[in-house]
Amino acid sequence: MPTLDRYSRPIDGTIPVTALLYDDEKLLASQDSVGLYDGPSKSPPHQSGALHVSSHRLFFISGASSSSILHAPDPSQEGGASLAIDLHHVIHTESYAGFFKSSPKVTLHLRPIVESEQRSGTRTPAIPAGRTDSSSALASTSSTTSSTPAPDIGSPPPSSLEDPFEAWDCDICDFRNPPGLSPAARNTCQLCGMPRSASSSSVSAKPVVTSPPIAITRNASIMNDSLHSRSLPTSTSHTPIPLGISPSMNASSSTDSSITDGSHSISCSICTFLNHPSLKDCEMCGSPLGGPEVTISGSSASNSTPTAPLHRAVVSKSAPASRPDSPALDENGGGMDNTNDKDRYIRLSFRQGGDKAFYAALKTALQGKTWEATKQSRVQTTSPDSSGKRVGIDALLGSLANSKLTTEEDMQDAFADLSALMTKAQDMVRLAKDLNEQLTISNSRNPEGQSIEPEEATFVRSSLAQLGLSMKNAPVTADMTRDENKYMEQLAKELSGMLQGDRKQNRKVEGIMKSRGVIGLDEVWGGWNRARGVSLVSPEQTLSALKYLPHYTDPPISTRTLTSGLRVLHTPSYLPSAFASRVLELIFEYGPLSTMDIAGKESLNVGLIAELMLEVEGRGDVCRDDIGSAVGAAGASSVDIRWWPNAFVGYEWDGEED
Amino acid sequence: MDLQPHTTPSGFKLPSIHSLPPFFSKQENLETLAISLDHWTRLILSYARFKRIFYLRVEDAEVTGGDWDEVLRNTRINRRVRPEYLSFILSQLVAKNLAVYDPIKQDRSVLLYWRTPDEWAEVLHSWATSTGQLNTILTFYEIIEPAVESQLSGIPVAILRKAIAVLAKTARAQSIGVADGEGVRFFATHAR
Repeated sequence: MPTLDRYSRPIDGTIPVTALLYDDEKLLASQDSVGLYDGPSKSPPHQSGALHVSSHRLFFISGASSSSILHAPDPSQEGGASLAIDLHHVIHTESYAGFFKSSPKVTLHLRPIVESEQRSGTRTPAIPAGRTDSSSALASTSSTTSSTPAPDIGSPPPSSLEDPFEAWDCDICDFRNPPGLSPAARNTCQLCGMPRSASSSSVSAKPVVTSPPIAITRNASIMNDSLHSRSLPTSTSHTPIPLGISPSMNASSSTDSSITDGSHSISCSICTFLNHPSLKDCEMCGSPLGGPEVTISGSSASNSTPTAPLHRAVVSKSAPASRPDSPALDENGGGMDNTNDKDRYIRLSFRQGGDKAFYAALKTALQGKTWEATKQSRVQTTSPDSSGKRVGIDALLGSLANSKLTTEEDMQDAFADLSALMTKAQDMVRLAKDLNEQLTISNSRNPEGQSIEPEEATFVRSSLAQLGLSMKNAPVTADMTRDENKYMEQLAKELSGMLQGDRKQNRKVEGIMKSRGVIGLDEVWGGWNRARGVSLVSPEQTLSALKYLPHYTDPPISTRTLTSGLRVLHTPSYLPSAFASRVLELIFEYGPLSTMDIAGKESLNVGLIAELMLEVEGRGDVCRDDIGSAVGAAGASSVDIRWWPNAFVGYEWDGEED
Repeated sequence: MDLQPHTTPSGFKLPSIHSLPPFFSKQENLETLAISLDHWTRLILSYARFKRIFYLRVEDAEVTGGDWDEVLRNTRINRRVRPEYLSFILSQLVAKNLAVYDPIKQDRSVLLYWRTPDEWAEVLHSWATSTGQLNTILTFYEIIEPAVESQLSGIPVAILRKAIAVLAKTARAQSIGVADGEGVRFFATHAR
């Protein structure tokens, strides 16, 4: 029964199946009267029992005692026929509907066992067996009755990470994780989600695991000591050891020569203690264990001590210290998976039907791959970049770190862009100037006044204009003139060119006040700075330059501050008196007008006209009619105002006389 | 924009400015506003005198159907006085001592002085003289609701008291407490 044994582990069939489940495991379906086939042939101890499938495992609970009497008279198999198979071994399944007397069957094809898997998982049943053997051998010298290994179901496997019934404290948050989770979920803290570190202290199981071997070793070494004195003359295989040496040294020296079977015990390079192969650190001294080269092959050692019969007798008793594996493993050649592919399957025979429902549940379990999901989540938590299933403090820290990283990258990008622009800006200005000059020169060389490639020249000029670099001369800057006043005058001149266009050049450069009589100072300042490119003008400089503006503009452009505090530049036609009389003319012509109407007639923006109208109202030239005062209107006032000529002034009372 | 005075069905002659829409809006220009307020004051007081109305309330601008509809609304030009503006006009009336808040300590209702208390005092005394009731004790009720209709019919007690107080200062009247309220006795002008 090689396949069944290697893939299953025995369980206690006397307790209900629900009690065997991990905390995160779910029972999916159950079916009575099922027999197992180990490969092509029936497995005698497993011919009648209940089959349960959970999200992680397949349980076979041995049923009636009759079957075990019929097929397995061995006392050690009582209740031991119950077993569990991890579903992650299953590659694929086949269903056989049954034919006449042949029961419906489900075939589970299993994947070959990897060595590491074998170590941690499937070989565990054998280890408790060995230990039971050792303790019994120590307890009494006449232990012939219990020579057959009785599987010790309750005791956990020695590796602390593999023990399902063990609570452990999280290193990070000190949360004590309860036992009973599935192997995959067991490796992350339930509270904070941090992966369990190897140094996490296991709480309950460790003493149970570690103490018996120590006791065994000491006892064995003492026995060995007494025997060594007698066997020394004949012993060829090991050096004489003086009495009074430390027990651990003695144990190592004795076990060196005393291994008789094919175990893969690993000898510690520091203290030479023979450790179980699944351990990574020495059980005694805690130092890391090396690779398989320190593994001692027992068969050769046993051959080397044929001349010590007494010693041999001791060996049989001290052998438990080295934890020999069960004979079943020896049959398999020390764990090597030499089973044929076609033999690597298990059949479930449904003697009383129910196979359909059970097969469906099994499929669900296999497709769900709960064990894999928990494994993946564990992998994700260990990689820092993943934003997957992270919980607790770990997730908070992770997201914080992530956002910080992103912000930093963004900032660096932004600063890099900015500095690049700063270094290039001056060059761009110079390039634009050169282009402009070249164009002018080529223009002047052609007496017709038309450049050779008019389209190209226009294109270049227009693109420069779009960049705000189309000024004939480079912008006026402070370092060009010594005198502050001169500088301001130059600025005013430049500003006038921008506002009213350059008439002397006969070019079609239109100033921004060409069609408008009033312009807000904010717009002027913004547009001017845009035109100047990189050598910006401060608001103070702009204000100082405005004083000189009327001298350089025609018609003179003056500055005015409106009631709201908005400063505007305006032509003489927008002096308050001129504007007011114009508005009154409009009103007399068209009747009462709203601000919008006036803005439309004046081709100015509404905000500016509203300001100007307030000014006109302040002069008492107009009065307001609030449409909100209409009989039907419920709205707020001052939303819509119609301007009337001021009829209050000079009104004579013509109503009821007193 | 030649506006004409309008005569209401009740015979009151509204001024032409009442047909000017801006008249119903609160003007922002202070000079214009002052002119507008003067006209409103005159309009309100003359209308109150015409209709013998003593009270003007902000509610009159909010609810239709009151005594003041003809003045506070002009449906011909689709305009009305907004309650906020009326409230402002009331405050101006009080400030000019042409009205008092009645009851006091609120600003939504005023008692209009289309005759000042002094004027009312003269009216009261001449009425008492002309009806031969000098030196006799009169209750307020007898003055407010006289058997023969007079100028004093329906006068608010508040104004009546003020008028009597004015007369008392010049010793032409004496306020007397009577069993069922207040009373007054008038004296001849030269009784002193």
